[in-house]
Amino acid sequence: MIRFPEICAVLRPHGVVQTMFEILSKRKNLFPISSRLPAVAVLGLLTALLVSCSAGAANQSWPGLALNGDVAYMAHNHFISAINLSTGQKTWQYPTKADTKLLLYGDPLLDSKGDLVAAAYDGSVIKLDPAAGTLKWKYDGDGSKIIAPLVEGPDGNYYASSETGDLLVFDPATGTLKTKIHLGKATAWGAMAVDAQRIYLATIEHKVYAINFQSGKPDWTFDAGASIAGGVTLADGKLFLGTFAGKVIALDPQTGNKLWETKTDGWVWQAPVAAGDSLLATDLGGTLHALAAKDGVPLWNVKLDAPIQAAPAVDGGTVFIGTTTGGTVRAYSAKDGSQKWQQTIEGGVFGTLRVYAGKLLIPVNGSKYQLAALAPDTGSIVWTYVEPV
Amino acid sequence: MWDTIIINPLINALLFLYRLFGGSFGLAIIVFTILIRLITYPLMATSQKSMKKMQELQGSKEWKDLAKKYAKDKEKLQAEQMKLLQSSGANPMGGCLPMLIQLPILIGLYQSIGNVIPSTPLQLYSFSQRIYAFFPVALIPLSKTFLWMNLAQPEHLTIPGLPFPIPVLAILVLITSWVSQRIIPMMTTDGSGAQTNLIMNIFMVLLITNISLSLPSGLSVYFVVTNLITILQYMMMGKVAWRQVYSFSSGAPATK
Repeated sequence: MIRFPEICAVLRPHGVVQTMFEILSKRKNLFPISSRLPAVAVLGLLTALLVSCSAGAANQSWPGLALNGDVAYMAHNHFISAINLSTGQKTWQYPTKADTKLLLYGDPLLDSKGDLVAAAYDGSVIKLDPAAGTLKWKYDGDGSKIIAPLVEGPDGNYYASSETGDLLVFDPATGTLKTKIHLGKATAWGAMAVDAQRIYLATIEHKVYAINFQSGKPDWTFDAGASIAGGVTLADGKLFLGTFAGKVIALDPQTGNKLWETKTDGWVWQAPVAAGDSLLATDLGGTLHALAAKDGVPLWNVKLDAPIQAAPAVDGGTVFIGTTTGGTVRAYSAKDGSQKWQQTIEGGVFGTLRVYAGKLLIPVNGSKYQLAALAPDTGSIVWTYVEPV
Repeated sequence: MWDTIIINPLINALLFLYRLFGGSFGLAIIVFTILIRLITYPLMATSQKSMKKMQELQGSKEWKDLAKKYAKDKEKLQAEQMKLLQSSGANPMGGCLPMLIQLPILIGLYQSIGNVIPSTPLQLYSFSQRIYAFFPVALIPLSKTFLWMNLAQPEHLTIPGLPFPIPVLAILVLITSWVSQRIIPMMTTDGSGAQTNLIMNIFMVLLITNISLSLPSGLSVYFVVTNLITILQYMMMGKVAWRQVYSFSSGAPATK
């Protein structure tokens, strides 16, 4: 987005602002009235055109969700909101007034004790009481971005990937930074995965790391050859990921060896979603792919009319997905990809769709609302949630 | 439409230069700005020529005689001034139109630099929709480092021993903006015109410096380069008002 003062600043060295100023000034002898009026009209129209052309989306992130009981915890831009899933009404919001430094990305973490933890773009980490939304502790950070959601290790510590290339380890009780594991140029943007031995993170700098909890060092690394924005999915003894080179890749989590890879129609933004024996992946070319999880063989695919950034949700034999432009949400049979229903919402679908408490939850960007709840069987809109400004 | 015709081609041209210069966005921005200014130079030169002609006409004896002769009849004065403009071949819009033509390119250049260094997921998504299919995705993430700067962030240089960081680039923007602004000879030469010119100069320089303090430093690099090119262009045209650079006086400009 470019603002009017910036337009002036851009044009200033070219003498345009000076000329405009002189034309628009009331200096009677500069130009005859008959010439001055058209000049004013043209300049006014052009300025309005430039301002309108450069208007952009105000949102800086898409909503991330954590779900528990009858509550959805939504992290978006400058707030974390607790939303009653039955009514779509806000229960609480943290902070009560927008803190512009607190820019939240990704899904908040609900830890094993039920506490809510989220990291922000300024490098801060906050822990909230999920019942009341009150702050338990805050780690201020050093201004280095944290984009990927935090993950809880088997040791109970919280792990966060910083843009400095460090894996930060936090004490869950106090929020104290216990240690940093430096990985070099390695920043996770998507969800990390853990098992009893390792934490797995896929980075925007192409590499996948398996960090051993005991040694604090990588057991292995894998070069995917392209950025990985969506993180990894650990399921059925395999580690799945998607790359900007349009590949879905399965790795052996023990060794980091590639088990298989399958080409898609465009950048794969999100980590594939495991659904029984199949794997669901989306790409910015607008295709929803169903693959066999064991060998990556395509089972079926559906080509949509717009890019798909979101990760699909799977429930009861149905796959749900939405497009980033056009705001179309569709439901398909998980068996053969035949369409069940279609619904249009405002804005674009970003992030991860969820089916929970009898509702299909859609994170939305570029709309007056940020979360839409649909009926999974019909696609009818149950409620929408508008975040307070 | 705006994106398809202006922004996206400029972004991809920038990416081409990024590859050409071995993954240095700083160099790509500098060369890109120079190239765009070279391309739009004929328009700027035409504009300056027309403004100069207009300025000369307004200072001519004929123009002043008309003003005296028809001091009490504004309509007649305008009609006679228009006749004089037509007979002399001067056009009041002549200085403005070439500038208007280059506006979309200049705004597009600025916007493309702002868009080409994504630092958030949403910006990267937007970027992914702008780049052409043949761009090798292995180049992503794009390097944002140039000299000591992260081009996606506002610049501050930390010097050992100093308790606060120095916004070196913003200071350079301030200096080059002031110089490039003040060397432009004024169209109006009376006292009140010079006064308003001085106020506008100060306002614009403070505005652009303030913008540079908060925007990604890649855009500040653009500001510095474009200011330097402006200074160079006016020097090449041989019509610069150096004394204005050192002066806060609103008196009539001295040109050489």
